[in-house]
This record gives sequence, C-alpha cells and structure tokens, in this order.
Amino acid sequence: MTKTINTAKSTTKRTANISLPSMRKWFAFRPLAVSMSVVFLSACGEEPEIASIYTSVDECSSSNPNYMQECKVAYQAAKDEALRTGPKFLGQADCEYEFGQDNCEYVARSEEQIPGNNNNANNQSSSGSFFMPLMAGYMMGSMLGGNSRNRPFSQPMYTSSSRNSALRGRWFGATGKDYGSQRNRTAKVYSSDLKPKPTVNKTVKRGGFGKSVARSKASSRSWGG
Amino acid sequence: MLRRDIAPRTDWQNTAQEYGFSFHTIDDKAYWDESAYYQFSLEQIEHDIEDPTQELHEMCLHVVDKVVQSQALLTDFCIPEAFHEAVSDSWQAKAPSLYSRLDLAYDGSGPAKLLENNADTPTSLYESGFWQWLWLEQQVDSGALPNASDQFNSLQEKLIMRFRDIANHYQLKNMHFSSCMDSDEDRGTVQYLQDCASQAGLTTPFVYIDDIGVTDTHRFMDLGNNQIDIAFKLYPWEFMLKEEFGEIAAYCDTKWVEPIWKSVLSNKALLPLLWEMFPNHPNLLPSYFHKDLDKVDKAGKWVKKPIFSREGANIMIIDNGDVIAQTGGEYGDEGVIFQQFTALPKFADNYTLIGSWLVNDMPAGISVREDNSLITQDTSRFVPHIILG
Repeated sequence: MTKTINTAKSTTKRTANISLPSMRKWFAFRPLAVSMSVVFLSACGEEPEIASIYTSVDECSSSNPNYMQECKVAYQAAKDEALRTGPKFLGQADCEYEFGQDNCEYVARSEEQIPGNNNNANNQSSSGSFFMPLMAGYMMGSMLGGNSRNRPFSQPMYTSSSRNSALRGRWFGATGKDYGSQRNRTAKVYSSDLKPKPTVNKTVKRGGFGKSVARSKASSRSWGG
Repeated sequence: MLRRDIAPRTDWQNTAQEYGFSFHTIDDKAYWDESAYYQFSLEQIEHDIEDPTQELHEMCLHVVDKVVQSQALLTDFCIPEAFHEAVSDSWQAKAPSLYSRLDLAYDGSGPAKLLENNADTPTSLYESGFWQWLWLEQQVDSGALPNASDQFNSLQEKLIMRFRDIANHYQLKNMHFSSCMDSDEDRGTVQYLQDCASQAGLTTPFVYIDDIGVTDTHRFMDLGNNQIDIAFKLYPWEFMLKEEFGEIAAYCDTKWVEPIWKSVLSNKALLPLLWEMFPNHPNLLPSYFHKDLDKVDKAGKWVKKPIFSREGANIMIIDNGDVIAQTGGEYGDEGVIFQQFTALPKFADNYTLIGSWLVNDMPAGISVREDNSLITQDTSRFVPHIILG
C-alpha cells in the first residue's frame, strides 16, 4: 500500500459538506412579525392578591366610597408611573400600530428630563417628545408597595384595540404583563409585580439609520461592494 | 486560467427558486451567468491568489494599526473626529471581524494586483459561498464536469466557524441581522449570513436598518422592542458615521459586526498608504493621495477613485491627462485617491475581475465577475469557476 502524502494545503479547496435541506427556502423573505413582547413572570407558588382595575377615579370612588382620597392618590401615582415606565414611541403611527387608533397621546417633554440624554446634535425635533398609549385604567390593591406608609399599591393599565397586538382586548401593565381579559375588573397580583420598575428603555426614536442610501435608480441592486 | 463554455443546468431557475436565490436576474438582465465558467490550476489558485491574499490582508492590517494611532491619518481617511476614539478603541480591543473581499486584477500569470479592499459590506457572498458550490456539485454529478473538479470556496464552512467564534467571544447567542429596505440582493446576502449563523447555533432575528430604534438610555431596539446586543449590519460605517444614530452606534454597548475599525480597512485611502509602507510590492499598484498629486506621472494612465466609492461609482480613468472612461454616482465629495491603471484581463468580450474572500483572517475562496466595460460595476455578471489540474 502506498502512503498518501498530502502536500497541498488541504485536500479540497471547497466546503466539504453543505446541508442542503437547511438551505432550502420555500417562502419569500419577510421581516419579523411585529408584536409587543409579553412578559411572563414566574410566581413561584406564592399566594396572589386580588387587585381591582378601575378606568377612572370616579369609578374607584363609587366602588370604594370610604377611600376617595386613596383612589385619587393611586390614580396620580399610576399616571406618574406611566410617564416614567410606560411604552413610548416617536411616531403616532408606531404607537397606534401597537395600541390601536386614537389610543395614543402626544407628550412634550423638555430635554433635561430625559435621563441619559447628552446628545444635543440635530435632534431638536425629537428632543423628549413622543407618543404614549393612553392609560386605559389603573390597578389598585391593598398590598404595601414595599414601604410602611400604608399606601395602596397602584400601577397603570393599558389596553390595545390593534389587530397587530398580541394583547388586544387584554389588560396589561407597562412591561407588557398580561392581567387578563379587558372584560374583567379584577386581576391576580404577585408581589413580584409590585417591585419598583426601572425607567424602561422604550424605543423613543427610529429612522436614525438608512438615510444615506440614495436610490436614484429604481432597482433592487445592492449598494454594497 | 481559461474561460470555457458549458451548457447551463436545464432546471437551474427552479433550483434557484427552491433555494431562495431571488436576484439571479436583475432588471431583466442576467446577473448569474452559468453559460461559461473559469478554470484555474491549483498552482494558480494557491500561489497567485491564496498566498497573496493572505499577505495583502496582513499588510492592510499593518496600515490599520498605523492609522488608528494617528489623528492626522484618520482625518486623511475622512473619519470624523468624533469617531477617532471609537475606531481606535475597537481596534485595540481586537473587536472580531467577519469577512472581507479583495478585488484583484489577475489574468492567469504574473502577480495579481490589488484594486481595492471591500472589508465592511462586501456582497455577492451567497452566490460565491453557496450557489456556485451547488453549481459545481450538480455539474459534476451530471457528468458535465470531471470528478476531479474542485473550487476555491470554503466560505460557508469558514463563516459558520467564525460565527461560532464571535458568539463565544462576546458570550452572546442572539445576533440581530440588518440591511436596508428595498434591496432584495442585500436581503438575500443577509439571509445567507443568518443561515450560516443559525447553523453555528445562534438565533438570528432580522431588522431593517431603517427600523432600528433607540431608547432614551441609548440602547438599540428592533421593531418588536427587543434589545439589540450584537448586530451584523450590511450597511457601511461611512454612512452610519454621518447619520443621526452614528455617534450612539459608535459608543453604545451594542456590538457590531463588522466592528467600526473596519471603516479604516475598507477605505480607499488604504491604497496610497499601502504603497507608501510597502513600496514596489508586486501585488500593489502605485497609489497616491490627492494632496500628493505631484508624484503622479501625468503622462501615465491613472484611475481616480473617491475614498468612499462603491460598486464602481464615480470612477474616472485618465490617460495622459485625458478622461477616457468614467462612471456616474453620488460619491467623491469627501476626497479622491489616484491609483495607477491596470487593465483587467479580457476573456472573450468580457473584462474579468477576481474577488478574493477572507473570513476573519483566512483566505476563503474567490468569485469571478465579468463586465462589458473597463470599470466593473453592479451591472457585472457572476460566473462560476473550477480548479482542475
């Protein structure tokens, strides 16, 4: 038997094997389906509290005539929380895509109020202004929000009427946590739901890339190289 | 190096559809042309293309190492000052790169000449790495080509390995992929890279570059508001640098493939600096910055190239002071370089250009493109090749 001496750099110069089934495409390219991500928090067997969801201070007060002040405080706290941690969008269309028509409001905010914003270049138009979904209601419960001041817990509640949203017709919080059908006015809350939320990195601006591509010719050619 | 005619596979259009190769014909003109192929000897491939590719790439990296340490050179490379630190940092941190393509003028003998280095957003990758590979398999299986036929093309296996390395380097398993809207070709190239990354065990969500969002805390998000930790972008740094999100992109936590130091490697200003650092190297053509115009021999034949030109746009060929060929486009405001003209070899009626690929730092194959004009543009055709003998 002759021994093969391999002096070439490799026996072949090409990819040895390609898995053809994994390269087959039966469908055209599509962008990702768009949906707001739904957060599932594990509750680890703890007992939930039943919290109520109200759509207005009046509704809360008429259900709890002895707690009118608490209803107001909880409402305001939820409004503030919504501004801090709620979903934010640069464009009305982006917001309405997720939350449905006429479900978004314009919020003007000055530059200094945006944490971490030290970019003063050519974006006056965006500065801190954005669109937010309307707070459709607020959740109120007796759980202590991690302090001893005996204030009721509250958080903003959103709904969506958009067919693009996986949360259409549901109550959900600022993180996208689903609290059940919009028909219900109570929801189970776990203490993990009540942890203070970080100022959420919601996307405030899109379209900051892609403007350099001058498409003088109507063609699908690459501008690459 | 020979150009040989061959019968196209009878059902290749159906095969293309099956594998999602949607841009073989563009604007009613053939882009993929399998009515011919190029045949190289193993000696030509290894001695004349593979080895010089390795050497040229290493020389280019020497240039990058010099440029990132000099504000003046970064300015000559038209990198805005705000980004000098980011470029230098990413080079010093050895931020891993994926791939490059060196364009070479080579006629089968003598030294291949480097025309340019497409190191940031090279395209024609799918055609090279997969589609011409499949062509060879099928033509050998049908007996149209001899069994001994090989191809200089280990792109796909090297890309898969490289994605695995990059994921390990950053300890990230979810890599976003991005290209701009309205280009089927770019989307196809990125889809191919997604396929390779996915075979390396990564998850590979796609987002159009135009759809990328930024948060008030300077994190990039995809259209579903998922954070982008690492992204492959088929979108050049020179565009990103002048766009609104550029500065955030350069200094934020998102990792980019290619990394920002590739804006130096893919820059045409590399060519005069290569010539300065490695004068008279057999694989280089004399090249000069515009400011060194006095070194350009006016009686000779030169090519004027914008520093940021792509796909052969805004190129001018000047012979003894007269413009003999030129292409239109939107580049050139940022500055130009002059490179000595070298004629692309002519096979039949075609001017032929070799694209020599590297994945990471390893030569990984070639693509052959033909054009009817002296300046290879995006109208050129892709023709497969084999190694035999």
